Order: sequence, then C-alpha cells, then structure tokens
Amino acid sequence: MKRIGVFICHCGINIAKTVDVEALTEEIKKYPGVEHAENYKYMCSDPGQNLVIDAIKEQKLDAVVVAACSPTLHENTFRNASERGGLNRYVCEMANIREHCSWVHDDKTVATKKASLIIKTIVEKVKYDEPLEPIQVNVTKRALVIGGGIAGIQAALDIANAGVETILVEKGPSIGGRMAQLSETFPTLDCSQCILTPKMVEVSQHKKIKLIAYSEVEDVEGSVGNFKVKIKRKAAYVDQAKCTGCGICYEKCPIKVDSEFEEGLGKRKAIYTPFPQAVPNKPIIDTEHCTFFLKPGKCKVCQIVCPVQAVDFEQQDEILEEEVGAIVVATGYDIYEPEKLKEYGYGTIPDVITSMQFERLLSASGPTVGDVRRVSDGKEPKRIVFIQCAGSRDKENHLEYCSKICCMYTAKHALLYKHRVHDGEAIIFYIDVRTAGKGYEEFYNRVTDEGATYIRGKVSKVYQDNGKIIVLGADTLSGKQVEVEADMVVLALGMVPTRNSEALVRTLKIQCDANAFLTEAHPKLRPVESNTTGIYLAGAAQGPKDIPEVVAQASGAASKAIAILTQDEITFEPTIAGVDEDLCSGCGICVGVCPYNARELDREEMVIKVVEALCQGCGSCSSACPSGAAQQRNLIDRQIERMVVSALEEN
Amino acid sequence: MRIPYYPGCTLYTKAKPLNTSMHACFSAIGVELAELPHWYCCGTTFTLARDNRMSLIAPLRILAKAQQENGKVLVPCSICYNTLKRANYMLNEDTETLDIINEHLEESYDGNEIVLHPLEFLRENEELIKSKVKKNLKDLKVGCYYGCLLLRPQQEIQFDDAESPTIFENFVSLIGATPIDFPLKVECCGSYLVVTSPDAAIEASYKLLRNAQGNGVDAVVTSCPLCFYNLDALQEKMKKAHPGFKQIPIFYFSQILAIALGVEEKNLGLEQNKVSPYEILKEYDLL
Repeated sequence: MKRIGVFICHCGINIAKTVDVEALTEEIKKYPGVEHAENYKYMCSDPGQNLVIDAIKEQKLDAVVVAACSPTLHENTFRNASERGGLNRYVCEMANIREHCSWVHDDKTVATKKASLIIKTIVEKVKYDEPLEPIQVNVTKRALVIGGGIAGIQAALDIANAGVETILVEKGPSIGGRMAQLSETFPTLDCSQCILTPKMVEVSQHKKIKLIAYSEVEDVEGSVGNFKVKIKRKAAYVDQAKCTGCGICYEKCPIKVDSEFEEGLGKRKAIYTPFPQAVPNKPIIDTEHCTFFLKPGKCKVCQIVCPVQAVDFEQQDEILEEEVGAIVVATGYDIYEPEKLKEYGYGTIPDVITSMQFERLLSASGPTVGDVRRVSDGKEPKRIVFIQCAGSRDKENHLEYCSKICCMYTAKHALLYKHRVHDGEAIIFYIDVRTAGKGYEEFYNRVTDEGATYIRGKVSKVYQDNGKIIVLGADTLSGKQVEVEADMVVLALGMVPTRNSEALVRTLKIQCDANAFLTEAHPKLRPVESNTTGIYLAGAAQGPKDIPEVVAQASGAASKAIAILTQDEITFEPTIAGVDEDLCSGCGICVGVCPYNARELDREEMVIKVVEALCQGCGSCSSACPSGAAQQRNLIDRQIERMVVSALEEN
Repeated sequence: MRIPYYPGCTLYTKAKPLNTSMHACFSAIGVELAELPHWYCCGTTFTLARDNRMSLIAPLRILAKAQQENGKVLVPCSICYNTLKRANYMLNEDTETLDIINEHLEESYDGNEIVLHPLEFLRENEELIKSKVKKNLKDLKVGCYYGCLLLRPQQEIQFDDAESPTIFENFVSLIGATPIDFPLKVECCGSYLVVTSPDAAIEASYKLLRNAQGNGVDAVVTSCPLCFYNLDALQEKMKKAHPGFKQIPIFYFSQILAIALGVEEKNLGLEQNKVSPYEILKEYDLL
C-alpha cells in the first residue's frame, strides 16, 4: 500500500476563513492510506513547497495530495516540488478545496465536510496513480505559413530570420495581399507599397523561405512537430523556372479583363501579373478568359512572343508534399459585399464605390495615377460623401461587429481627397468615430482641422435624381434630416474573413466563430494560438485589425512557432488514453468518437493503436469503449469508481 | 374559388374605390371574395406593443373567424395587413400569450392562419390572371409605390425585400403595363402627419411624386389607403407650395388591374380619385 502525504493550504484566508483547516487535518490523518497530513498558510510559497519535499524524504511517501487551489494554477508547482523530493511527478495530485469549496460556501461546518470529501476522493485516485514519463516527439524544424499578405510575410520573415526554414503558400499569383492595394496608410501617411514591397522582395530572396505562390493547402495530417501537408500548385501555364518576367507576353496578349487588383477600375490581360511589383514577378494565364482555353488551339500569341518558350499550355496542377513542425494561418480578409446594401445603390449608380476602390483611385500606381476621378465620366468629384459603418454595427441586417479600421481609413480618405482636390468637400456620415490607437485621435483632429465635415447619423438612402446622386440621412445631433447632393459616394465597408476559407479551416481542424473569424485559444492570454497545438493565427483572419496590430500579431505567432521549431524534441503530457490490447475487440467505436484522429484500427491484429502525439486526453474513447479497453492513464475506470464510492460512503 | 376577405374600416369610408375595384376584379377572374361576417376593427398598428396582450385580442379574433373558412384571409388594406400579419407573427413567437388569450375567448385560434395581400394572391395565380387580361396596357408607364407598411418590419412581414422590393413591378408587368423603377418607391409618404403637421406630409409626398415623374412615369399605383390619400388628395396643396408641379394620377393596384381585365368603368371607383385619371386613360385608349 502507498504511503500518502496530504498537504492542506490555508491560501491566506481564502480557504482558512471558510474551512476549519486544523480539524480537517486531523480528520484526514485518520483516513486509510494517509501516512502524513499537515497544513500551512501558503503551501505554494518556498517554505510550503519545502514542507512537501521534506515530508516525502522523511516520511518515505509514495504519493502526494495537495489540497489547495485549482490544478490549472499550481499543479505544475507541486509536481515540480514532488520531483525535487524524489517522486514521479504524476503521483502528485491537487484536491481543489478553494474554487470548488471555500469560495462558493459560507457555512464553515458544511465547507469543512465538503473539503474533507474532496480530499478523500483524490486520495483514492492517487492510490492507483502510476508513475508516468512525458511523451517525447521529434520536431521537424520547418514552418508553414498560409497566406502571403502582410501577416504571412511578417510571420515568414520572423521565423526564417530565426534560422528556421519556412514555406510560404499564397493562393494568388503574388504575395502582398490587401496591403499592396492600399494607397497611403494612417496615421503617418506612409505609402503602403513603399513600405511593403521591400518586405516582399526580402521574402523572395530569403535563403530560408520557400515561396510557393498560386497554390493552396489541400490537406494537413499529423500534429505539432510533425505535420504532413499537401499543397496544390495550380497550373499557371507558364514555366516558372524558364520565365524571366520580361512581360512581353502580357504586353501582346489581346484579351482585356477587369483587374481584381484594381477592384474592377482598371484592366489586366488574360496572361498577367496582378501588379508591376508582384512577387514572384511571373505571369499566370487566366483560363476563364484566355482565347486558347475558350477556343482550343486559337491565339497562342503569348507562346509565340515569349523569348524563352516559358508558356506551356499543357501544364497541369501539381501536388507538393511537405513536412513541417508548425503552421501559421494568415488567410486575411475580404470587404463586406456592397451589393447587400441595396439602399446605397452600389452596382446601379456608377459613382457609388467601395472603400477599396477609393484606395485604388488614391494610389499613385492606380488606374488614375492617384487623381481622384469619377468612374462614370472621369470628372473630378467636387463633393464626396463617405458612409461609415456601411454594413457594420447593424445586427438586424448585416454585420453586428465593428470592423475597427473604417473610422481611420475614412478619415485618411477624406484627408487624401482634400490634398488632391483642394476645393473639394468631404462629408462623412458616422455613428461614432473610434480612434483608439497611437496617434489616431491626433490624426482625426488633423482631418477635421483640414476641413472634413462630420455628420453624426446614418444614411438611409442613396439614389440618383436627374443624374445627380442624392444622399438622404439623419443628423442626430441637430435632430434633422439631411439631404446632400454628391458627386461620389464611398462606402466604408467592414472586414469579413476571406471568402471560401472555410474548407481550409476544416482541413486544419481549427475553429472559427459565428462570423467565420478564426478562434484563438484564449481571447486574452493566448491570442495568437489556435486550439490545436502547433497551429498559430495571424492577421485579419482572426478578427478585424489594422496594419500595426497585424504585424505585431504575426510576430507573436512567429515567436510561438519558433519556440517549438528550435527544439529537437517536444514533450507532451502522458495522461492520454491507451489501449488494453487483451480487452480490445477492434470494434472501432473509439475511432469514430475521437475528435483528434488519434485512434486507428490495426486490421491485422484487430486492435486499436493510439497515435500518442495526437491524443489530447479528452476521454471520449474511454467513455465510449464497451469493453473498458480504452483507459485514460491515471484516470482509469477503477479510479473513478473508487472516487465515487469514497465520496458517497460517508453520506 | 372562394376566399375569405377582410376589408377593414377604411375600405368602407375613405378607400371605397379600393373595395369597389377589389370586388370587380376578383369577380372578373372568377374568385369570390367572402367577406367575413361581423368583422370589426383590426386595432391598427399602434396597438402592437409586445407587452400588451389586450391589443392582440382583436387581431386574434379576426384570424380565428377567418380560419373557419379555409386557412387564408385576403387583406387589401396595408394597415390591416400589417396589423394582422404582425399579430400573427407575435402569437406564433409567443405561444404562452396565444394560450392565455385563447383561454379567455369563445373562439380558439391555433396560429396557423395565413394573412394574404392581394398582390401575393396575384403572384400565386399568375397564369389565371394572364388568361383573363383583356386590355393592352403596354405603353402605360407605371411607378409602383410600396409605402412602409407592406414591407416593414421585414422579418415579421416577409412580404418582399424591404429595401428593393419587386412584387409590385412584377404585378404591373403581369398585366402588360410598363413598370418604371424610381428610387423613392419605399420612402415615407408622410403618413399620419397629414393630420398633425400637414406640411410635412405634403413635402414628403411631393418628393416621392417628383422623383417618380423625373423617372418618366405616367401614373403611380399603390395599395395603401393612407398613401393613396396623401399622394392623391394632397396634390392641390403640393401645387400651391411648388407652382411648377404637374399633377399625376394615382391608382389603386386593383383599379389598374380591373382596367386590364376589362371591368366596366362604373365599377372602377375612379370618380373618387381626386386627381383625374381620365385623361391619361383616354390617351392610352383604356376607357
């Protein structure tokens, strides 16, 4: 029989005020198996821990129960102490008499009785606890970053700069993401491309980064330290190795298509790079518009003019298999669909445009080279109405949440417009102006100082009357209706997670919230980790945020990945579910209930095998197993049974 | 075919032409409007406070009465339609209230009655209507004015998209006329303000009509008696306030349907329209 020591903590007065610790100690001393029991004011303090260590040595204890706070708080503390005393750390258990007892009761007699019951059940548990060794897993020292916007770029650079090989997968033909489309950035008015493109080039030239553009992650297997990833490299119909990026192909291509990068305000060719600073600077063919693919065999101009014979119409999609130890998900955002705001006339009134389109109009590399021009007639608009919260903070009809960046980018839009068109009038409808951020309120003040007009109220309708755009709204400060004639209307649309990213979320087996933003492991304390160990989150895929926040989060995610990828092996808790092969009939029920794919049926031996690195010890298999073969280590059926009996015996 | 019919008070007073033409055109398509016996006031929209069960009694009794006929009731007045449909929605959402009211009444209502607007009925019977159309309204350019009560609150009414509805335009196309979209077709006509602040109602209605005219309509059709009154009867005053304003005829949807179905002029109720509709009808050879 084990010699068990019980250590009861006062937790100052947190426990001692409601639990009679002296009486409790005397009571516990009498319980079968308990060789030693004592109490102390702060068991987690150094002298407290020394009490445990000394007792283990002097009383020759085989197991320890610490009756104190929740195991999430101090289990590690006391398991470390037990180790220092010479015990295996897994024969040390916590009995939670604070959160589960003293904090929730007033009556001292009742609380003392309950604390005694809690301790006794844990004493029963520890009687059957086995010494266990942590599970060690070798680490594949490579990272995968999914998404090549500023979040993915920053994460990839940080990981690579730590000396870890990094694969950066981007769905589109170039990295750069949304930030590449922006004109100037608030509050400093840095040119977005000027600060981004050097980072893009750094990615392409980094010895430790393998950039795989125009590709998508198809499948992910395995677990932290050892993920096996399948990446589909989509056929670009241009041999990336041969292509020099000279651009003759897209110069000569006769097909013009609305450019996605220019948000439909400019054109690109059927063979194209999205923008001149694209990385990689190698074109792809858009088969939906290319004449060769629409009328097989026709055109081929690009192939004829290519000086290095890089155009290859026979190219096929290709599956690349890679092994990595950690993954950063940075799949970014789209803007909310403006068509859903029917009252604002997007799509029917040509000069009602989105905030992203306005960015392109302001951009020095945009379709108007930075001149603000109307889409309909190319004239300079003299009055622009900006509608903030277009589709945001509208629980009934659209997005309930605040997208955080729209107040600031609209202020920036108004300012840049005033800089381009000096006699222009910028009128901004808003619900609130939210400027939390370093230098943001000061920026907003600058915008109002430079003459932007802010009207607090929502716009109810935008329509055309005799060719003029009429904006109907309310000024809720004066309580009046407002009617404004505008030359252009800009909808400040909210952020939504990149469309069609749900499949990737399912593949990665991570979670997302009701708005499809990726869910972090803890909203406060683990904001860059997903619920799956080894998969980290960065950027707007996790929630609306601006560039500095994205970059900070990306570096955070990178450092989490680096922490794993710079170790030779990582250790896991051994308290996972095993299989008693003598009892296992190979029915496979546990395979179906396991949420982590940690259980496999060995069809030759007809028994279940456990993939230890995947098992999270949730216990689903143990409760589903009809024969009792699936048992969670140190929480086997017999232990639970003894604990229940012990709890009921005294009543 | 026979369908229970709830006219509501306005159709016997200010909106007689709506009642007359409803009967005329439904008879022309072979549908008998079975007016509910001993019907009374729907309670109108003000009473629909969620914390006042008393106000749901009148709608519930009307719905219970209608249910004895065949599970659907036709309600042409937008105000009655809105009241009955929202009351029905609330009673379905809150079955506790439904049970409590039922316990206190002789009638019993299970919440399953369908409140139908004539435009919905026409949408469900497109082929029937098409086969009965006798007159070609092809060139008549019609602006469809919805008002608010047919559309909002969207979740409770579920009549059409509240911001860009199309059921009215589809109806106009169905009978062969040309629907003209105008942006203010769902904006407020001024409603009851015509009693307390008539100038506000005059301005609101004037704005709608001017917008419709700017888009080239010959006439405006509507279904709500109150909208009809504001758009039609206030035009004299609009003219005083805005001398350049050119009057424009307003029709109930049922009047224009009756014309398409070839109903005799005496059954159209046109004589009560304040702005004379005869010139435009003669111009398009519809009389």
